[in-house]
Amino acid sequence: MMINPKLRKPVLAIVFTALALTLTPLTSSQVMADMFGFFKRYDVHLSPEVHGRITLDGEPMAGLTVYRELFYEKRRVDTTSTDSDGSFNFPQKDIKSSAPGKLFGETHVTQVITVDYKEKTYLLWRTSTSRIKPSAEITKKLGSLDCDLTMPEKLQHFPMAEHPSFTHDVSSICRWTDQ
Amino acid sequence: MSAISPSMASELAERVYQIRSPDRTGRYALETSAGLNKAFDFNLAKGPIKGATGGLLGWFEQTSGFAMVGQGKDHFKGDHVIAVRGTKSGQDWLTNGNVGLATSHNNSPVHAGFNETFGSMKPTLEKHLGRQVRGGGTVHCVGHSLGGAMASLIADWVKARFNCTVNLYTFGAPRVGLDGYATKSTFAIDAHYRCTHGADPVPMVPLWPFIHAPNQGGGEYRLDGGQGISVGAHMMGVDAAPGYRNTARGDDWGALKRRSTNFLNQPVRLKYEQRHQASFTTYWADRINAALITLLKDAGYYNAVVAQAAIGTTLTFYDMLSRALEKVARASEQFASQTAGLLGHMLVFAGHAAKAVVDLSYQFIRWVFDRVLSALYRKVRQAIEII
Repeated sequence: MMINPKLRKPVLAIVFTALALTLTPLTSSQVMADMFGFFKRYDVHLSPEVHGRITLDGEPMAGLTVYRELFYEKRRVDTTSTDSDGSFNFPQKDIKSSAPGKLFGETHVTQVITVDYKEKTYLLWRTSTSRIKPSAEITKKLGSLDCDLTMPEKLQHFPMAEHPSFTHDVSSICRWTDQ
Repeated sequence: MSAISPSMASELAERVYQIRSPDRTGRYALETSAGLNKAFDFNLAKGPIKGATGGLLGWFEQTSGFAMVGQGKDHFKGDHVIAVRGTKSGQDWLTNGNVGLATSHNNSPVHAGFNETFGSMKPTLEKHLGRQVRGGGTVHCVGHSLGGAMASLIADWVKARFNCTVNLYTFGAPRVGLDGYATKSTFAIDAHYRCTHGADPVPMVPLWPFIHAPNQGGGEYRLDGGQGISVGAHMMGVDAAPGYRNTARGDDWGALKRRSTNFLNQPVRLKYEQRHQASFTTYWADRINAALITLLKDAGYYNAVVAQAAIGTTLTFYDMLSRALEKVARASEQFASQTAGLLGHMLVFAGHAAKAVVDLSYQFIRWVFDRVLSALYRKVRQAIEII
């Protein structure tokens, strides 16, 4: 690209001056806010509906508290209890946020679902994604979060339906039979 | 000595963003792909490495540098990886014309804001690495955006402090220092993988005289054919367009380099009738530069001009270039009109839109170059006076 060092200086100068022109408006925060969409609010999908069931050696575990922690800009927690069948549910969670429009945003959605039993915390689900739209594979997996407390925690990789060359990487004691 | 793959590097640059706050049991979410999980272990039991920056505002609340250190295994046994992210508060530094300078670890002038953040992270980094970097493995420094600037300063420091092999991988990183810094960094760091998108504005700042390292050889990996300026082109994620995760894929830096050469060297042929589309902008500076090179290549003069310039003659470079263009224009009607197209765009670029291209003589071509250069230097002088 560069012809020789003698030409490079003018080339740099061209880049510099042109940038001085193109970036001048950016110093005005009003213009910049508009350009970067600071005031625009986006839909951010934090979690699909969660349907799960907790067992110990196959026996349903009733009355356990399950925690869902959702991280996006800040931490949001909700809790629920397992019923007599060991089942529990969380509703879908969506928010409005201006974060996706920010140049240095790169905010990720992190989902952590845990349950306490006899002074120990078990990890039912933990993953993080840059996506702010629902991911089909996560919706499917969280729709059948069936976990036996005897299983060891394991890092699992599920193909990302929307971007097949990437995976959702999930730590969990749960197992899914469809893979 | 082997590099981590493009997909691993871009995954690390993105993953470091997801480490924000611990969950209720004190653990961080750091689930990685199967490939990365096989290559590096991250122990966040003691939490990530944080750096705080002062400044007049936000003495207490800003945490502005952030790194995690991974230990290599399997094929990367003995290696370490340092993934860094910057912060949102850093955007003031980039768009602020009054960029301060500080002296970096390699004794050259660098961006004061970057250097301050790096300084605040150094003691913790020293503690983490001091014990570990002994076996002589490679240290891979990775970062996106401001994290890339941070990774660059960290890479220089690791090289000086531990004298091991150091590779640097950045995505959409801004310029860190002046020529002196770039030159030292170019020679100190064993391999640079500086990835950019064509429309990503961040690698264009801070303004010259800040320049990128490496400033010699082919360190830049242009990962797409984007043009203009688009904020979205700076993003990492798979849903972004194009998104560094999507463009920096696979295991082969060589393949990315070959594509990069294509993106960086798209031929540009300008038509005289369309000269009024030109304007005094980066975009047109790049286009005119590319059109000049394309014309010389089309006419078969490129190598001769490069060789002559390298040898050095009694002529100034622009005299020589103008003489070459005069010969090019005489060679065929097509080259004559391509030359007129280039000169017409240069005149509009330099603010002489009313001036027509009347002939393609050496004198006229030389005069057009003078107009462009003086327009540029006038701006440079003004800008320097403002600073």
